[in-house]
Amino acid sequence: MQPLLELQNIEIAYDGEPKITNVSLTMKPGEILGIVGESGSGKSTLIKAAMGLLDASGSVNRGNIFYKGQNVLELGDEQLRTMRGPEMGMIFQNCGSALCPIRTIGDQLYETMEQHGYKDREAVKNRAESLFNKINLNDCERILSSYPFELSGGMNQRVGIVMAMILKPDLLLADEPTSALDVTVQAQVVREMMALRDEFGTGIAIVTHNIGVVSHMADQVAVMCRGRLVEYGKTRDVIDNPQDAYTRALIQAVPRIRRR
Amino acid sequence: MEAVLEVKRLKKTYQKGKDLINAVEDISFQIQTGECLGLVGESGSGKSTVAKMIACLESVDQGEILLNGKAITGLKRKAQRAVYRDIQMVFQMPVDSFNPRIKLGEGIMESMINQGMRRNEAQIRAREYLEICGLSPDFADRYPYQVSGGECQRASIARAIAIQPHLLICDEATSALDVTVQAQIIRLLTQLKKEFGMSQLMICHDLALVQEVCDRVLVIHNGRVVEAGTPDEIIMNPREAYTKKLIESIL
Repeated sequence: MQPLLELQNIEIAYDGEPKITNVSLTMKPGEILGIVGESGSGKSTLIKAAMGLLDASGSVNRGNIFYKGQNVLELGDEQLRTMRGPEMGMIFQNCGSALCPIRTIGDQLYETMEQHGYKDREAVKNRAESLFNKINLNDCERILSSYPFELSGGMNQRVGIVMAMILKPDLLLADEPTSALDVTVQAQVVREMMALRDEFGTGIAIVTHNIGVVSHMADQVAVMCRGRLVEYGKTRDVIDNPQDAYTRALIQAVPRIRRR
Repeated sequence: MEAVLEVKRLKKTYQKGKDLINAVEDISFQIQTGECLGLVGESGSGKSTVAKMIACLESVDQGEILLNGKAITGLKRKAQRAVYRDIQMVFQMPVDSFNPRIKLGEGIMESMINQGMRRNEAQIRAREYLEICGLSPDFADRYPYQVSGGECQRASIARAIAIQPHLLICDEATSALDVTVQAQIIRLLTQLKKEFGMSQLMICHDLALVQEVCDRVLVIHNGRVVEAGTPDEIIMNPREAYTKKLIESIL
């Protein structure tokens, strides 16, 4: 089977200084990969690079990134633009700031969907409504007619999550998607992401420092420390039997709930 | 044991456009000397409003707050200053809670000088407290933007404890930090409780964390206390539907 996403020995530098060295990862279609590590370890940089979204000071100096066999690094801006959305979706840590502040949520949703060929507004709205309901946003009319500043941070975050999910991408890249959300909503979002994978075979790479989320949903875990991949393997193996000292320290730092 | 803080039937309403929002409906509790009390609940449940009212950062609509047996509700501005001597707060965003134009050391000295301490003594104390909080004394000469989030949060704890308050309020003090840094901050807070007998009010949505550090916990939902007990009682044997939902959400 052709891998969905393949990172081969990549090195990423910011302003010429290498921040990520020699990272290789492979995701199969429908696989959920959890990427964990402290802030500054390079987790977000990795998935931004996979989407061709590194900012101007960052560049991939070495290695290759293949999405369904295509080298992302060789694709032009226009090709990447059409791929983002239906092929690769992205959920940012702070989705509110990715929304246009002077247009309503509905406007932005319909425009995005039209760009990708979904012209039937009624159908888009129905689909959005069912997704909103599943993550505890029950007043779809109000959300769609609101401007981002009229909604709370957690609501905007869920708007961003729905906008990424509604196009049913084959690869969903999520950068701390639930860090700004309450635990109860976080659990709903995690359930919905897993449902997306089960229903549509979406592969998901989730960057998070929440080990609980990772051990709940991920098939594979990659542990990043100071720009290097220190451990990579099946979730159960990594969480239950970490080989690397840093992974052990990271897992030990998480308070575990005692239920009995 | 004696109650450091007693909160009686607290109520707070905000006006938003034409609507009235009842942030706090009816909340009562006590914190004993040397006790760490946790407040859990989702955003919008009213936990932070309660904390701000206790710290005199928000006015009280109805109800009463007693500190060491004396009412601190409805005080004039000047009288409120005396309350700051006994109640200090640590906020979620450490970098935002320091004045960006002054050095961390100056920020820590300010509260001591406000309480009447001489400048050179405050300077020495600031360095001592940075050390207690696990930072080298020369952090006093750095600006907030020159340190990491975890370091800055340690400095803000140093600032809060420098005047040895009776009650330390931590409003999501570790939720913006990495898990490894969180573990260090929690160790520090537990140590302060033991060494100085400092009472603590811990606002937190992470039940596992609450279980680790709190002696007692209140579950807040829609501005009311829906359940109270030791963390073990609440987690292992939740009675209210909302508490059950909160526990089920832990992944």
